[in-house]
Amino acid sequence: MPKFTTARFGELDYQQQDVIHLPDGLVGMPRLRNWLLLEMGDDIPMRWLQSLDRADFGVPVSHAWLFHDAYEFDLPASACRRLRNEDPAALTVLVITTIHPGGVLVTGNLMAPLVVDTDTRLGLQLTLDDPRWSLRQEIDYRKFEGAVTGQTPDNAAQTVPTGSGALRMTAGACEVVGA
Amino acid sequence: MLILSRKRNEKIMIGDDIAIMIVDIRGDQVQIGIDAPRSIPVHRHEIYEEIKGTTLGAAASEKVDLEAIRRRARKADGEKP
Repeated sequence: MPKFTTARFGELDYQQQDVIHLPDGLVGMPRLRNWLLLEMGDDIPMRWLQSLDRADFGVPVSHAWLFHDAYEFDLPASACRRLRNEDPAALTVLVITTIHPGGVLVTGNLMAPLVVDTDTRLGLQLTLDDPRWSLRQEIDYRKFEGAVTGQTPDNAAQTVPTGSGALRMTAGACEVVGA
Repeated sequence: MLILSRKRNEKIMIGDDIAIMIVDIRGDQVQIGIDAPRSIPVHRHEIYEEIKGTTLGAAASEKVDLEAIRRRARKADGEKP
């Protein structure tokens, strides 16, 4: 089993099949292609996306529904192809989340979400050109608290989520791939 | 930096796969068309920098203060029952 030593979590054992591969990296960080999703502890509805290419780099990620009830975007057919997506239900969206100094203000980047195919373990960071989706959308604290105490059916503290909560993607483009 | 002069509808090739066309010029604004393979992300520079900056900010995230967040959630409950 491969081992990797991270700055935040110390030494990790992981399975190759758990690695998420982002062929383009993140926006502005094209070389950070290999990632693991780790628990952050305290049952908080966030996970830590840890780079396997840079031991000291990772970001919290959470579900879009914690930020916005009506989050939606079109996933271009080209993105579906690059994710080698065959089953639209395997697509999940992760929002890069910032816990600001003090630990109370929590914002999510809805403008540039990550879309991950949980079957192929491939992911892309998209850039959405939609004025509704902000780089710094404040979290809904009631939903956050509800997710901590397990009141919501979709608890992001589980393994890679396969549902996407309140998120709606236009799946037409993906269905063409599977047809 | 290579600097080229182009007129409306003229193009620049970058390698074999990327074509950049000057679509329109109006006052101090230029419309640019970009033909590139889907695997090459294209961003407005300022958006690119903002997204990168947001990711770096996320990487510096602090520990969640759950108690403070619970207080805030209760306050939100009081405001919107």
